[in-house]
Amino acid sequence: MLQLPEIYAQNIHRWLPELLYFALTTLKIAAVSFVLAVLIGLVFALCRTSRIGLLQAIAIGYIEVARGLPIVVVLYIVYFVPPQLLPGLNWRWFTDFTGAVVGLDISGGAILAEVFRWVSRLCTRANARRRSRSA
Amino acid sequence: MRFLEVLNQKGWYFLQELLGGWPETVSVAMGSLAFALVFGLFVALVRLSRWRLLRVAAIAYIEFFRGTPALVQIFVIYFGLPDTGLRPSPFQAAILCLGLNGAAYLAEIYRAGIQAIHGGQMEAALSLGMTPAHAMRYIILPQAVRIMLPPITNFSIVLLKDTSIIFSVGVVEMMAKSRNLITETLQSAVILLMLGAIYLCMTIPMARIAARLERAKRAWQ
Repeated sequence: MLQLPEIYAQNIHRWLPELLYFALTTLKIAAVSFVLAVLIGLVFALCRTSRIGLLQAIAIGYIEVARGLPIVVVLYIVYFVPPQLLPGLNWRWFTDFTGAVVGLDISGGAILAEVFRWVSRLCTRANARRRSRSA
Repeated sequence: MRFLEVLNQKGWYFLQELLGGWPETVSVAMGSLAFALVFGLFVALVRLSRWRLLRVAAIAYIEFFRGTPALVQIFVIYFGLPDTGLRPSPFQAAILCLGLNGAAYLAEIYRAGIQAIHGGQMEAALSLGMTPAHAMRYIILPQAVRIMLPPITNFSIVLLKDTSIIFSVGVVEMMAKSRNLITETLQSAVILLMLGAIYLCMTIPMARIAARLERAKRAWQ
């Protein structure tokens, strides 16, 4: 049967500080990767809406691939694949933190790129309507 | 190059092994999608109920399942339920978790669809003598389905991708197969890129369908 209250009463003073301490790591990863994902999203949203065909194609390819892959798979690919493809380089700097941030940015950047593109289209349409009304 | 060599020698074996987990991935995705579609509608209707208490309960459910990571939920279900006497198999726990989690997201999609139908429709149906349940079933929902179809398709893509976390409770699907292969052969680059390609073969066509439904919806509106 459930004995949750007793288990909590006995252990919470040990568990809670530890969990809260690692919540800091969670927040740190979330904050860093969010800021970078916004930048990546902006760049690719601009590429996606650019008039240059090559940039558009790159952006579409990136967005489709990054949105089509599960985050777990992206994280695994980012963390395990490059060192094996280019074993000659120095991968010491590529810590688990870096890997996590890069993986989350690849996924998040693609989602944000779509969001930004969508918002910019809505704004352009709203502006066009306003202009036609005032004309 | 080393990569191509490995791909040439072991590629076929890797592909067969990974695809061996494909039925498991798809059946968990389908099972939890079916569960979420039904249960999500129930949650959405409770969310839109006239009674405050029911509404609050539905909001709490939705907030809880959208506010905690699916990975934590599956651990709670798989390792927590045995304390209450139930012993789900990994497969059952996966479907239950993704289904409950998905129902919370789908409830919001359903709600948006139902609320997008003009309130006058409901009033008109009621004034013709229909009961609220009848009006919902024959007037509101058939129209709302057209609005909800694109987001539901997008949701099923997300659900399919989310099945990649269930290896953590021991369901042997594609992700678990890839981990086994990596520990067996250490060829993580070839295996993981192949795994990614398999996921893309499933998700990109689905995204195409979602985009087409979206265009059709806009044309209809």
